[in-house]
Amino acid sequence: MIPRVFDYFDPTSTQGALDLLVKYGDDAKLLAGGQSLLPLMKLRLASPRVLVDLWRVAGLSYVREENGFIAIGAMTTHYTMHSSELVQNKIPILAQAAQVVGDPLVRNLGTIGGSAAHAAPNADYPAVLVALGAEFRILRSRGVRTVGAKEFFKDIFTTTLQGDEILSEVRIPIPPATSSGIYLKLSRRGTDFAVVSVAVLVKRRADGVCESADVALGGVGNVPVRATNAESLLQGQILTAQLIEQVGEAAVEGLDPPTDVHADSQYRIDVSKVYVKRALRAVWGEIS
Amino acid sequence: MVRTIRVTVNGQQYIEENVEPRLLLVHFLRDRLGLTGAHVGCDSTNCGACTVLFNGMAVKSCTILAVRAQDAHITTIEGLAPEGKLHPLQEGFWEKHGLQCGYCTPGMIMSGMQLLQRHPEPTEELVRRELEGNLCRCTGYQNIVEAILWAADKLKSEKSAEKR
Repeated sequence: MIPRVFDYFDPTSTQGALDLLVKYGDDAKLLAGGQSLLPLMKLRLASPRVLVDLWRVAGLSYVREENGFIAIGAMTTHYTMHSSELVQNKIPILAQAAQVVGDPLVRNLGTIGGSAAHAAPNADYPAVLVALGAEFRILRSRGVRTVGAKEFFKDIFTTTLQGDEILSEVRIPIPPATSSGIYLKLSRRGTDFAVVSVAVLVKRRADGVCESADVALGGVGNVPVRATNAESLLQGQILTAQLIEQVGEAAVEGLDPPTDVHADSQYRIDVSKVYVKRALRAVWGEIS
Repeated sequence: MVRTIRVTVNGQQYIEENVEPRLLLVHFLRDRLGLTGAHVGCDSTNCGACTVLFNGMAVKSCTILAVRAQDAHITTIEGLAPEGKLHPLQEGFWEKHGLQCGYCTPGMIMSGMQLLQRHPEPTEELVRRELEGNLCRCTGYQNIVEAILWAADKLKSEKSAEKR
């Protein structure tokens, strides 16, 4: 179908974009890769009166290493991310996630910033970015602010971004070389959103003991769920089959996933537990 | 808030006036330029029947605004080969019976173009993965995959023939 009529601007600078957001207020919406927003507009589920397209703004697409972080510009496409050697080598779990967003065609246009700002509950990045402890750099006319991943994702399709702000960069602390991470996603078909997904990052000491673990679940709530009980169980432990069972149980404690056309709540709980266990076995195997 | 769009499609430059921002690239190609090879299959950004090459990248032309085509280089199915000579991908679809109704085919071939550019010697598994953005209701995909693998071989032997 065809979107409703809208006014369209494609400024060449972030300042230009910010000015437009201030000028048009609630009427304006930013356009990044368009792979989430345009489908909504075509169905007329979203009909912003003004579109501010970021495609001409220079300097928003990059992947670079800075002071122990990997800094990724908000307009960096999924394809660029998963084919970046820097991401593959330093944060492989993020490359894994970038490779399963949508499909190869969507990945050519879709961006990490757009995807994060869209904050779909069954998207791929949110759980991974929470597990990685990512930071979000947000531009506004009166300056810059930085927000952590847990704070960034507030509710379903809702982030902390205000109407006059632009997400400009996602910064990820580089996990130590002794860590291993995996992103597992259950979807009915390759291109579907996640029914559930699991991001597990484990940092191990030389003696085999788990120094810390980050476990985040996607698709089981309005925002990614950090499995803090599971993480505490792992801390200071060596992995055993029994511990894996316990961690799996702990990870789904208190979960209240939605029931929808793709799966019911109990199924999501059951599969999340399986995926957490699988993820643990996989990362442990990799760094044993 | 209309714009004039200057774009090169299949090597030919076009200048189109009065382009509304909400005009989708697929409709621009089909209705303005008469290039009806890109098909509208789903309205939900799923099927990929509208796939074209946009500055070298395969994209779903139904999910990009025509105004983004400013100064772009676009290749559609119509631009794949000079008149009378099929591109190896097109030949492959013929040799391997990679189509039945043909609706998904232009999209499959354009995706195949990117696939072979990025992976000149793909495995079957990779072909299946890289075609995830293109749906087919008729064939069950088997012959499509074989057509692309056939084309990969053909391109490879054409390349070695050139070197000799």
